Amino acid sequence: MGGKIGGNLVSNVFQNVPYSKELAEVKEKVAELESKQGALEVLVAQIEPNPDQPRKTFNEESIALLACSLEQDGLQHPISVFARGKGKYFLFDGERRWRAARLLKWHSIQALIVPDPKDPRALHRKALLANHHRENMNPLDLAEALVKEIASTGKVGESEVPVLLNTAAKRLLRSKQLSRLTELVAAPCQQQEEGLQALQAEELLTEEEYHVLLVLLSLQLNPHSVNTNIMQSLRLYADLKKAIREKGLGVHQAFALQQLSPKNVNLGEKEAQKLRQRITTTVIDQKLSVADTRKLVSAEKEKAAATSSNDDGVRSHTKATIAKIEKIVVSDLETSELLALEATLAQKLKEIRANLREH
Amino acid sequence: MGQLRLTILSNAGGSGKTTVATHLSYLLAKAGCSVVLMDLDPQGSVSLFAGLPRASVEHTMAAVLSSKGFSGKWPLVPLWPDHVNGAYACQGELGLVETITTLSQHKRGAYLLSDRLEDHPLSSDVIIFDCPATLGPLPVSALAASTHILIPIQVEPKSIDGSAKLLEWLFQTFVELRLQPKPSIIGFVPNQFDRRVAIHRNLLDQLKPMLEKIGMRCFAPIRYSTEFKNATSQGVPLHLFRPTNPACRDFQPLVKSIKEALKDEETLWAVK
Repeated sequence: MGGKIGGNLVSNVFQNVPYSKELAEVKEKVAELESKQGALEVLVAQIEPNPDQPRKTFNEESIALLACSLEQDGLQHPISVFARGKGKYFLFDGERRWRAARLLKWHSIQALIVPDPKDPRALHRKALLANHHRENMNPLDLAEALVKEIASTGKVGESEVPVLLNTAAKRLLRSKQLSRLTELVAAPCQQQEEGLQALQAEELLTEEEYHVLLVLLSLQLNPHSVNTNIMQSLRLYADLKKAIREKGLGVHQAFALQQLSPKNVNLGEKEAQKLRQRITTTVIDQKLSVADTRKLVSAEKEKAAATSSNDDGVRSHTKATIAKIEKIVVSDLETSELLALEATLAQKLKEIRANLREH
Repeated sequence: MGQLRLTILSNAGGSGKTTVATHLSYLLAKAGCSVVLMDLDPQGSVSLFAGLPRASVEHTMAAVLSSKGFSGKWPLVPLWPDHVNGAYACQGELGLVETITTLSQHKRGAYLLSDRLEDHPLSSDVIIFDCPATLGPLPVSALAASTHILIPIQVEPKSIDGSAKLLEWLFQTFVELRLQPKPSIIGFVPNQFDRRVAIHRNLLDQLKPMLEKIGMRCFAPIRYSTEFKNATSQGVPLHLFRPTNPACRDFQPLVKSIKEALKDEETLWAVK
């Protein structure tokens, strides 16, 4: 008998071991997949909206239309929820369908259970992507969500984001290096990082700008385009933002209506807002196009300019002073301040009257 | 840092389970960890190895796993109190034969030991389960309560054969028990290794690469020494009986590995 004593004993007896290990791993994987697959009927009453839902715009009319469709043709696409605690589900994707289901007084709705992304950052990012992938998230929601997403890296504050993006975009545009940024949009993650680091090394980007751009690139967004089209919506008046979210005002119409500023319409802030809301309602009710909205806004601006010339050359400087005085909230002032103001105004009034008598 | 619960398993008698269990308990306690060694063997050999008087059934693991319920008073007995602090044992006994039936009939069967530990947590850093050399309800209940597994073997045909089948059984049992997370197999520790014996050397040479292939660690062997038996007869670990014996050092890699596992970020079983 040749060969070492104990020859192939180990390999012989261990023959089946690797196989049984793999088999066990496969069985586990299958069990895991099976438990997660397939939609369940989830009770509508047990579903709550996602606290971090990036989509904040829910047009009533649109939901009503969706409800009609659901009633007629049924739910085409199960919503996605994740479970947290017993009998409690949070929406991950599908708030519009859920709202429509509630309108129809459905008791239960088809839902896919997705794993609970316990980390709130991960939840926000995933929900952002889920909506963004469908391309119908309006720029305002997208802008706010992007700011939040970028700020959540902890490297920049929320209010700094639009400024950093704008500065970076303008700088790259001026130095004709913008194409280097655009190339990175569809590139793999590693390349995006390297590309941005190169720009930073050449002092074309600051470290904070690097972090802002990296997040945008990682979401396959063109930073320049985001700056021009998306971030602008953050500057809209609050009443216009509200109209976008609740009344279905179009974003481009909103930009046009933004032109109705106190300065442009020759009115105080409150009056300008009232005017804006009036025109906005017209735009929404008549479903005006962007072009027609712009026409309407221009008309208002011209009207304002016309009335100001009726004032016979009240120069803007004076108008500003008058506006300032109008803005004073008397009830906010201390007695001492009121006395001082009264004295000044009394004196000024005396001078004005004296001056007028001379004319 | 959580509680590390180690099951010592083998599929062949005499492979050194109780030796490893008792020596680890001593060495971990010496290193500053608190340890409870639970003897799940009806043979109750921990008592012998630790020089403990035979316990009455009410003061053994059989009482813990009784179908009548458990008061929460763990039957702890100090191990080598004159030499070390923080090491305790819960003794095994013939009563555990009855326990096998209990585990088969109880609605929570395989999870009974795990349940007991959850309802009545122990604050020790480490719990070691010394199991009988069979693949039955007692080792299963230890597995369901464990975070880690250690497999002592003799470098001899029967033990190696047994260990291969043990692994197959383990993988299957993990799936059946749906343990989440699965206990992690620390590795194999060859025992009673005599390098003068050709087959020992040959088998050890084959074993290491084979285990590596399936991602399992093979610790450096604990060498054979007659003094182990002498120490057992005195009811003390080798380190107390003959501290100069070179075999004493052979346990170091194991102790190190367990201490590292203790430090691990992942708290698998946090003590409430």
